Amino acid sequence: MVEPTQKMPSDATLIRLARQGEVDAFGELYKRYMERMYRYIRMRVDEDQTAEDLTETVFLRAFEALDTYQERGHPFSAFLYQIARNLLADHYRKPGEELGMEVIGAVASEDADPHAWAMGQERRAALKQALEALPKDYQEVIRLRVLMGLSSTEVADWLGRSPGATRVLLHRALKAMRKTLEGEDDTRD
Amino acid sequence: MTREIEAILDECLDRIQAQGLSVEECLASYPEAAEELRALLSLASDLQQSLGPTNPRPDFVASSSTRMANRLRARASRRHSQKPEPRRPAHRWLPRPAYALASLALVLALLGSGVGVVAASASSLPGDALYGVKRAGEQVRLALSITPEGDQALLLSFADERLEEAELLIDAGRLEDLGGALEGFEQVLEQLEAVGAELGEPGLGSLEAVQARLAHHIQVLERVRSKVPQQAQQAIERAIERSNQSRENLQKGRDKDHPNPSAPGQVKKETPGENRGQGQDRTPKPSKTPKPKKTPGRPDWPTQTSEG
Repeated sequence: MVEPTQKMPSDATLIRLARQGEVDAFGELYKRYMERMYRYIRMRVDEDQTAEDLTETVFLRAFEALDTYQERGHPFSAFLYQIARNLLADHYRKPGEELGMEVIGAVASEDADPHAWAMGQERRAALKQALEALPKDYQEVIRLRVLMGLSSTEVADWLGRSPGATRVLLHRALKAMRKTLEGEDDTRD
Repeated sequence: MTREIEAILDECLDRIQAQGLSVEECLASYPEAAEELRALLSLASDLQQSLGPTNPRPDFVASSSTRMANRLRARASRRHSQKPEPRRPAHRWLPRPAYALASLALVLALLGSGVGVVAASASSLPGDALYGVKRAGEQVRLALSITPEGDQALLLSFADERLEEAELLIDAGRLEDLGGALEGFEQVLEQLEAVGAELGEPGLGSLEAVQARLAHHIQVLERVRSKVPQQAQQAIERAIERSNQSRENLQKGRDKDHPNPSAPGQVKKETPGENRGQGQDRTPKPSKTPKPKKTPGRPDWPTQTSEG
């Protein structure tokens, strides 16, 4: 494999430059983390445009609060994640906004089998309902580790837990969700 | 054993997500844990397929970096200008005449170029001493633009700027100045509509981009509305209504049949901002001043700064 000739600057370097007024350095951080933040936010809101607006706001707030960020073993992505969570909490407090994950009534493609599509929608709705019935920390570890596919180390950083505690949390969360779904299946039978 | 199960679950998730293994392929390496983990890994796989996150739209990815860079520059500039200057008592020891001469030189330098004042005004907000200079500078930029497409790009960036100002004023608790930013926003919308009419059918290819931008503005306004007291909310609601009206008017402009702009008697000189009442004439018009015609191209939106 060819080694890159120029090493990418670390987050710490970019943050230092951004604090000195180098807006382009913060722009690099934006490019680095925009997609990840968008994916997280998009899971929690129902519209692309809302997710886009909130994603940009996360970075603007991070830029404003850059002087307050102290690494201390917490990566920059964890800082962004905390801002995103606070922003989403504000968003849900607004009247008419409901906690959502995906638009369950997504439009079926023209060539999809309507029966299979309807079954898929039903399953999706059941999973969404079961997930949202879990305690918040269980929901969050499933979103980050399972849905977003972040590494357990990164999830631990974002949640402010040790990797071991994060693994235990995930195990418990999946067991609880399975139990919830089995309970629903029993009720249905 | 329990702890081991958790580590195996974590490892299997990694292998399924990164290497594309199936649940059974992964469990084959851990037969002792297979029974307990099968259901959990199947659930995880089901969750990922059914509720996995959506990637951002390509047009958002393409446009957001530039837009963000412009907004960050504006904020950085304001942050810099708001930082208290370190106390510099040096002038105190200057003899009075020397100090007066230094002040005079400064005034002359500012009057001579004007550039410094305009640059300093970039971070000003409604109610600030230099805000009028900032708005006048925008009008100069608009006058220097030689195509309606360029006008449109500039006006969209001015609309962004007015909303940015509104947000900063709210953050600073300066609600008494909020009206200035919102009125400015509504004025820009009027100008945008006039330019839309001026662009005519060929230029309306960019209508979707303009509509998307206006929809974004409405979202910003709705977010801002939730932060302010009832009294200020009315002004924001008016701005939202005005944005919706602009979207409708621009759409009507597209839907309407446009007469041949080269037909005799169709050309009518007009300044953006004029003739914007009900039933206005949306006949394609030439640029607002007789200027050399540029080769029509894509609007370089957003164009608040040339960098980024």
